[in-house]
Formats: sequence, structure tokens, C-alpha cells
Amino acid sequence: MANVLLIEDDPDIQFNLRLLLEGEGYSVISASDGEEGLEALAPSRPPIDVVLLDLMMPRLNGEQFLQRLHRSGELQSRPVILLSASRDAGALARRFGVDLVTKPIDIERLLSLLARHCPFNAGW
Amino acid sequence: MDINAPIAPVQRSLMPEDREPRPGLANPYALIERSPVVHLIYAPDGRCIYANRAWEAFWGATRDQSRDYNILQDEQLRARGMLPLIERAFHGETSHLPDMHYDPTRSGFPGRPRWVRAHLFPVLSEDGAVAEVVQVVEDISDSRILMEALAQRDAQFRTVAEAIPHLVYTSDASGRGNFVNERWVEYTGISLAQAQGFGWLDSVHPDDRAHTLESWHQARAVGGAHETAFRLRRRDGVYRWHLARAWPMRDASGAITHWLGTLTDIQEQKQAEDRHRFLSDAGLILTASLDYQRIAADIAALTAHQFGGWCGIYHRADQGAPVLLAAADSALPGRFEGPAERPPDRARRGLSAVLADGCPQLWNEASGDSSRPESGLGVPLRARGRVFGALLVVAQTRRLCKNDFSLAQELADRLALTLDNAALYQQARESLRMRDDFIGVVSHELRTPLTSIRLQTQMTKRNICKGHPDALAPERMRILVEQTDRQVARLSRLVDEMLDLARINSGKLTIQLETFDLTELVVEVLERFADQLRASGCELEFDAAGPMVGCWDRYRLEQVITNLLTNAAKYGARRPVRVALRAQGDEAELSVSDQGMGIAAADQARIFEPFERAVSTDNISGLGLGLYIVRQILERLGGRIGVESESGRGATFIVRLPLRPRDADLADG
Repeated sequence: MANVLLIEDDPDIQFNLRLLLEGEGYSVISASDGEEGLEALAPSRPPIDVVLLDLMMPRLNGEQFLQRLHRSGELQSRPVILLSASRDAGALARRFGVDLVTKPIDIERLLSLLARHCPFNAGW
Repeated sequence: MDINAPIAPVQRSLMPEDREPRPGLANPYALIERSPVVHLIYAPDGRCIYANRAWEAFWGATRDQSRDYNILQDEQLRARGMLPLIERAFHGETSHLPDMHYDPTRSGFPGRPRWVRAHLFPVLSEDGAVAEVVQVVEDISDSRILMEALAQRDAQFRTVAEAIPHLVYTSDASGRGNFVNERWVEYTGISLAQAQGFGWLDSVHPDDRAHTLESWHQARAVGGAHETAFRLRRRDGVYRWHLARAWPMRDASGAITHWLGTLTDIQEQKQAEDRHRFLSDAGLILTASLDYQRIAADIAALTAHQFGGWCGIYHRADQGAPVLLAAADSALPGRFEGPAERPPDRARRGLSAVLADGCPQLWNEASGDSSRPESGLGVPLRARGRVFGALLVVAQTRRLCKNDFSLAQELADRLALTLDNAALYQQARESLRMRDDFIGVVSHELRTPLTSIRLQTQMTKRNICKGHPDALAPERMRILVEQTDRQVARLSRLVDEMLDLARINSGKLTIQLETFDLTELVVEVLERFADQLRASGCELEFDAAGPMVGCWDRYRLEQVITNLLTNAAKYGARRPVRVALRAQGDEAELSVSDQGMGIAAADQARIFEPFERAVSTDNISGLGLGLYIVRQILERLGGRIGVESESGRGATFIVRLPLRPRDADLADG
């Protein structure tokens, strides 16, 4: 079963995405901002297969989170899907070479991207 | 040989009656007979006994006509007072008569009047007695005419030199002055005697002496006309710019004999030129940029250089304290230490005066810390009918005059226009930035609930299509409906806020007054809010003395209380929130205190402005309009809102409302 790290500050969106992904056989680890997200990526924690990342969040926002991963070189090996309604999100996704799903989220697109990143997801 | 010595005794052999005439020398006076110079010989009694051919040619007379002439009886010579000089010759002394204009007809000779110069030489006999007197007459008419012409030319030159509106001088070939006209003396207060040689250089401004001499040396080397400009001191000590031109005068051989020079007062042109150049330099700065700070700094530097001193440009927002935007000192180019650098006391008073009534100031008076009087000026920066700053100049090397004053005013007018445009431009950019931020915030705030709703509907649809057994289970449906309800409420709150903002911006925020009990309203809202506060982990305390009846707008005050509670729940950090209502004179005072992160002093005024929040936009929830709308509502009711807080120690928002709004507050809308 693939582990998905969901970094999203809005509790309703977090709740719904968790419901959706768990229904599709993913294991979901939630974080409500970038700082919590980084903590969840620590080596002592369960390995993460893919990160779903919101952009506008308190404390450490999506862009700062990407910068941290980029600086530590972790971004190359870690698939990230950006979830955002921001107009700047497209440019940001290209800059960091990550996928983008715009809000409101098209779940079919989100699921097909996830499937591409986790081809051996046992849930299927 | 002494030419004035009497002629030695005549050799008798020369005398006609004693000597045999020699061949070819029919006349004993043959030697002088052929001389081209007029010679006459007189007997000791003054009678003319001989006149040579030159004499005949000179007057166009015959020798016979000289027979009756007696020099000692010449009335013309007597009238000129020459008789004593003539008699001297007859007493044995050589005598030179002064030049005279002689009319022969008055002595019975033909001919036209001539300028002549005569010399008389006595011829002594052996016993020392005067035997004869020889008169030599020179025709000096030509040289006399030449001299008269020269004198006339000289007089003409002087007349021209005095008549033209310039200072005129002449100097010898080496530049030593030898003539100055009256106008020169009148202007400089320096006489010809003082100006002679290189005395005139004293009147030239010390800073201009080197280049003036340099130009003069070049002209001398080249031998051509030259032109230069320098400041010439007037008798009252004021220097004025003059254009100096000099032309070399040459003799027949082409050698320079002297120089003729004129000095033309070009102070006005120079000032106009200077003014024009300064304003055009300023124009370049004013059009080069729309950066407020940079314009001010460049203009201050240019102005300090122009006036030779210190220049400061001040900006005053509304009625606040003036802020030094930029300053420059011509003595310390490029060294601006920032707003700490202050003008002298007098200038500070000038600044206050300019800002107080917009009246330009010019002062020349003793300053406290120096014996030299301080000369300064201050002019207002004015745009769209209001004074928003001032330009100050303190001159260090000279006294500022009316011209400086008007120049500074003209500069200030142009500077004010540009600074105002720059400010408008910055405001426009700021508005655009805020609009972009606003659009970003609005789209985030709208999309977040929409994202939740859409996720729910898509998942339900997917489950139905897949034939999921729990797709329409009552528990799932309950969660879905609750969430949708919450998100729709959130959306409608956003729409309300945006509509309120639009109403405030267009001045259409309506107020409907009614008399009600505020305590009752607060209790009502608190009850409605209890769940939300509990969900945020905040306990609620409410403290009220009893009913508080007043005349307000119920719906708007509900909005105010809701907003303050929403913030308390959002930022209250799961600690108790305390609400208190009490009467303070004829005002109601409502306070909402939380124990959250608090608001830094620097942010306390800002949070009541639109789209502002104490934390960054990433932390958002809501449009950042809440407190702005609250403030607007309260102001319309004649009330006000403030905050008391320290970072990390919670915040208390205090609303003060008159029990009954004044008419003026209502009329403002």
C-alpha cells in the first residue's frame, strides 16, 4: 500500500481527500502546514511515496517547503503533486519540476497522477 | 656744439661791400640764397636787409616786398607777445619763437596764413656788438594739421569711450592700463591712477583672476582680439558678471602699440543663462525617474551645488511632522547621512513657517553658533492645492537674493509637480499590487470552500457510478450536507464582506437606527457563537452590568460582535476569551479579550485598514476586511475601535459607542 503525505491546512479539504484516497487504497498521512510536512518526511517516520502539497499555508508555505526539499536534494527522488488555486502555481510547478492539480480538484486527474507515481499500489 | 650759441663774428670777407664777388657767387648771401629753408636777415634796428629765394617761394612774394618790413615793428608778433623774445636776439641771444599761425597779409606780404616756427640767431661783429640777426623760418603747417587731426581723433575716441554704455579701457602693449573711461571709475570706484598698470585686476573676483590673466596672456601670444568673462566688483562690493573684449592696435609696421578693451555688464544674461541651465538640469532629473527618493536626492545635490550650501527637501504627510527626504551639502558632495542630518536652528524655524502657511521664506540674519549671518530660504512644495513639503537652502558663501528666491520657487513648483506625480504613480502601483493581492486572496478564499464542495460531489458521483454500497448511506449524507452547509455559509460571508466593502467605497453603507438593549444582543450573538468557540478550544467569559439601551443599528452591531469573536476564536490559541460590556459616561464600552499571540505595536494601526492582517497572507482565512468593516460601521455610528496588545500576550479590542449617534456622523455617509 502506497503512503501519501497530504499537506493541507483546510480541515474540510483534508478530510475529503483522505476519504477519497483511503477509498482508493492509499495510506494517508496528514500534515496541516509545511513544517508538519517536513517532520513527516523524517527518516524515522514511515516512508512516503508521494506528497500532495497545498500552496497557501501558515508557518511554512508550499513554496518554502519545495525550496527546503530542493536544497536538501530530496526533491529529485520524491514525487510531489502541487494542489493550488494560485495563479502563480503553474510557474512554480515548472520551476521545481513537480506536477500540478488546480483547485477545485479534478479527482480523476489527481488519481491518475497518483497511479503513475505509485504503479505498484497494493490497493489496486 | 651748442646750437643755441650766438653765431661767431662774421668774416668781413663775407660782407658784400668788402669783398670782391667771386665767380658764381654774385650775392654774398649765396650760401643761404639757395637753401630750401626760409632765411631772413635783419639790421640791428630790425629792418629786413635780406630775404632768400625760399622766402619768396614760401609766401609767393618778391624780395622787394621785404624791404619795408621791420620785425621789431611787426604788430602781429607784438600782439602775440613775442616782441621780448625777438628783442632778446637783437641783444645778442639766440631766440626760439613758439609755433604760431602767421597771416602775411597783415604785414603787407601776399600769401595765405601758415603755421610757422621761427628761430633768431644774432651775428656779432668783432667788437661783440650785434651786426645782424638771422631768422630761420620753418613751415610746420603739415605737422600742425597732423597734430590737430590726432587731437581731434583722440577727442573723438574719448567722446565715444564716454558715450557707449560699456566700461572702456586702453592698455599698452604689455597690458598695463593707461586709460579708463568715466563709467569705469563710476562703476568700480577706482580711479585711473589706481587702475593703471595691473591695478584693475584687484576689481576682478579672486576666483576669476587666474582665468582672466590666462586669457590675456593667450591673446598677447596670438596677437588677436580676445574675449573672456569675469565678475567685476562694483564700488559697493557687489560682483557682477562682465564680458571683456580687447582688440590689439597696431602701428604701420604691424607691431601692437596698445590694446583697446570694453567691459559689458552681462549679469542679467549670465543669470538668465545660469537659471536656464539650472532649470534644464533639474528638468532632466525630474523627467528621468518616478522614484520619489531618487528624485529628491538628485535635486538636493543639484540645488546645494547651485546655491553653494546646504539643501534639504522635506515631506509632510497630512499634518504630521516633516520628514527629511533628502539633503545635500555642496561642501560635502555625496555625503548624506540620512534623516539625522539637520539644518541650523534658523532654517528649522523657516521650515515650520513654510509648512504652517505655505508662505516662502527668505532670511539673512545672525545665527547662534557663528559670527557670520545665516542666509537661507524655504519654499513650499505644493500640489493640488495643498502644501506637502518644503525645499530649504542655507547658503554658506554668500547672501541669497531675490533672484535666488524666485529661482528656488520655480524649482520647487516643478519638483512638487514631479514628486506629486511620483507619489500618485507609487499609489497607483500600490493600488494595483493591493488589487492583485486582493484577487489572490479572494480567489483562494472562494476556491477553498468550492474545492471542498466539489470534492464531495465528485466522490459521491464516483461512488454511485462504481456502485459503492455506502455511496448514499445516511451517515455519509449527513457529513456531506453539514460540510456543504458550512462551506456555503463561508462563501456567503465572503460575498457579504465584499458587498460591504463596495458599499463603504461608494459611501453607501446604510445605517438603520432603532432603540434596543445591547446587552441582549451580545448575549444572543454569544449563544450563537458558543459552538464555534468551543470547537476552537476557547472558553467564554461574559461580564455585563445589566441592560444597556441605546440607539444603534442592530444588524451592523451584530456584524461587529461576530467579527471580533471570530478573530478571538481564530487567534485565541485555545485559551479563554473574555467579553465585557459596561457604561462609560454616555458611551457603551464593549471589550473582547483573547490570550493568543497578540499584535505587535507596529501592526496595531494597520490591522484596521482594508486587506491588512497582522500575519502574512499565507496564514489567511478570510479577506482581511473584517476589522476594516468594523471600524467603518463604528465610525458611522459615531463610535471608535482600538486595540491594546503586546506580542505574545493576547489582545483586547475595545469598542466605544455613544448611546445615541450624533447627527454629523450619520450625515457623513
